Amino acid sequence: MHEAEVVTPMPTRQGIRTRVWTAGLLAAMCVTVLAAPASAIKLGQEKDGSALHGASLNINETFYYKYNLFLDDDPDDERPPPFAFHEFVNRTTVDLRVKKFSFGVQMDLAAAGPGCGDSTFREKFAERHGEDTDCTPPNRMLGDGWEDPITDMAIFQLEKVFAQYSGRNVNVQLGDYYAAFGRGIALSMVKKPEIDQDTSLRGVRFDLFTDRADWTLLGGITNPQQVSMELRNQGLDKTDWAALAGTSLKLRPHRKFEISLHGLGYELQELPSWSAGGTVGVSDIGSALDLFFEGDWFFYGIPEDAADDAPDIGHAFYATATVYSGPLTLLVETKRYKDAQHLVRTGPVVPIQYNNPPSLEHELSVTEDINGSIQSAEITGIRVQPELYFLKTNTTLTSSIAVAYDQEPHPPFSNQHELTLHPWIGLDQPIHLGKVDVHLKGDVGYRHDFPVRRGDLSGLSEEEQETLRSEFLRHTGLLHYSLDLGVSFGVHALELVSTYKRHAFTLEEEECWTLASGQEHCDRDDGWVALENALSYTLMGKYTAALHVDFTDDPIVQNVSNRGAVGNLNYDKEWRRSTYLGGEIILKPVSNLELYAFFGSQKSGVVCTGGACRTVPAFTGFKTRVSINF
Amino acid sequence: MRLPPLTRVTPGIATVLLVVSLAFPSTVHAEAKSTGGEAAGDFTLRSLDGGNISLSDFLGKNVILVNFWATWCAPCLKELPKLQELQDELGARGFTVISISVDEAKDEAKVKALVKRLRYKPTVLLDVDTRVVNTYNPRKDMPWTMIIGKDKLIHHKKKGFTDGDEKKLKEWIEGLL
Repeated sequence: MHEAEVVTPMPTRQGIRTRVWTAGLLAAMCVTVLAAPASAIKLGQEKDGSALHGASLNINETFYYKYNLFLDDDPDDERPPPFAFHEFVNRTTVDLRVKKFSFGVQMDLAAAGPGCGDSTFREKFAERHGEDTDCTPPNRMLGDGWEDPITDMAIFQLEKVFAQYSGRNVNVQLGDYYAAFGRGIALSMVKKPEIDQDTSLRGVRFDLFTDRADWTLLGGITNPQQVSMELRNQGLDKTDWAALAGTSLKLRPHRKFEISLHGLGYELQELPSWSAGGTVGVSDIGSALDLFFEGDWFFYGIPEDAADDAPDIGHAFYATATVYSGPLTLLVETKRYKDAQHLVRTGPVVPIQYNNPPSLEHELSVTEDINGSIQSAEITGIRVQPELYFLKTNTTLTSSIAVAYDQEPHPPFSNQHELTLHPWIGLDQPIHLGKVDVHLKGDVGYRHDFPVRRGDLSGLSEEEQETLRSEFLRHTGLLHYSLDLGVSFGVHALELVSTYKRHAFTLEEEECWTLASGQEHCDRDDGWVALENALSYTLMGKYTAALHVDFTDDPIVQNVSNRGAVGNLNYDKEWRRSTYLGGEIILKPVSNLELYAFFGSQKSGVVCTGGACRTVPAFTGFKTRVSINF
Repeated sequence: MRLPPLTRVTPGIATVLLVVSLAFPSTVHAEAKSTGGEAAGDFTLRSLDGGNISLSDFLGKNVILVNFWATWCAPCLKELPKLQELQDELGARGFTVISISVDEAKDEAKVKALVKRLRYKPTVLLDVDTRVVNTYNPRKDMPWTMIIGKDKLIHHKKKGFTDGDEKKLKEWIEGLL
């Protein structure tokens, strides 16, 4: 620990003055911005031909402040709850556009308090732990990776810098950029602001566009975003970058027919790896059918000390057919991936994944706990999704069934293969009732993973073979539904969003446990539920108030006493059921300003979007966010 | 990088922001008038129907509504039919809608299925590697709309969609036609 290195002032009177000064400045700034609603700063004259004609400077400021409270989960244990602490994140993005050129930066600052320089906190700490104990702040910033895990009470990061020329036939990017080839099987590095995950490539990208062909050439190093709004900073080692280079050529002999080839070189765990692939797509065959196919091959660099079964070659095949005729749209997707998802550079906290292949799954439901169909070393699957749209009633009926055979063990649930069946149905129905608009959207589904005992046990030791022959075959199931009901009339809008998941798995032997009611219960069926509800009211599209009621008894996302930390990822039978209640308001008084405030509890857990997930901490307290566009 | 503690840093940030906000308010416009705005930079993207389409194919000829959307964004799916209605009504007067999907590459099949299911007629472009959205809408707010006049300048920008917003969009477009 580096307590001795923390250099902080004594905020006695000076500290009080500082707080007053800070609050005054922030208030003044808000008043100024409110008085001058803005979307962009015009730099140039409006006279055409001027060098800065139409040039604009966009500045976005987002402040995020959290005050973390701690609840005393067990008052009888005589241990007081941890100290409360503040977290502060400021994100500034600046974007200058002049004709076909644009330049941008993103700067993040994260800070936490109180520190041991705060005499009030030092006194409290000494009172609780004794004068002889070294003072430890309740929360501190993480440095770049494990080498320097704790730095100080504040860090600053210049996260992104870019310059771009975008013309009709040429696009050139310098600095941070994003890229995807084909359907993302070999490369997909894009920004995911929904979960504040942003790993870009820092280098050069060149694109050439013509009527019959497109060519892309890119090279750079990975640049993950260090500071997250929810987790302050990630403790990523930004110096531990990995290099990547690739090219893609697309040819269009006919407007409806496209063929492409791509190749990439990756640096994975300090060893070079390669991939090569291609796509073929035909669209609007008979105005009713689209076909697409992609094939990729992967060649991995293997370290000398790697395990014998470490793969050196992988492949991926993915194909789709889309049929559209009358009210019917039918989408069929199929995949076969074998060691195609090792394009990962592991590191502290968040690994960098270079690709994001199609999963065929209902990802919002399954990514949280069952990742077999999302990240599997060997999987074959098909999904059929018929949709019916009735123009007269504006009704959409969707159904989907996915079948997959997963040949990678996923302990602790199963060391065997699994056959997955996942049907779901959905309805989307807008209704106009005079001046009232009602929009109902929902789906319900069930996924079952059937264990399949592994047949070929060659290459395994006698002991491993015996274990697999006699291992209990565990079934797992997931029931899920989601409902989105919106009602709007005039300037008023009400919305109820509810999601439910019930995970279940069979136990090898009957087990007994105590229910919340105090009764003892014995069963061979175990599992957990997660229920999330949000009721919101919006006035004129500008002012929103929402109430959140969430419940979970999931041991993986338990609240760990609401200590503001990432949930305990170990399976623990002794979990406690938790209900989380929170309220929030979102105000957009003018087009360039958004104010957000939350008070209450929020469960820790995994936030997933589009197959990528991030663990967010449990939280109890108050948090607010101010976002301003200049 | 080692920095001073929170109490020292926060006032500094606040001061910088205050200076910035004081320096520029007189030059900014919430909703640019038809006489001015920022220039729309060109870009080229792959069309869902095949081939490339550039913004410059329409710039200066039509009033253009460029709309960023995604299949996972519920308000976007409410907005798309309204945009089609606007194009149906105002297309003959020189108005064009360009819808840019920012779905990831892995979801491209879902984009086509959705567009076909909605019988959505306006031009749909694919920005699978977030090259264009990162220029115009770096926070990837969804849906996000900008309206470009025949003078090639961006006159209006809009984030989000709630029922009734189509009236405001129509008002803005008609003001530029």
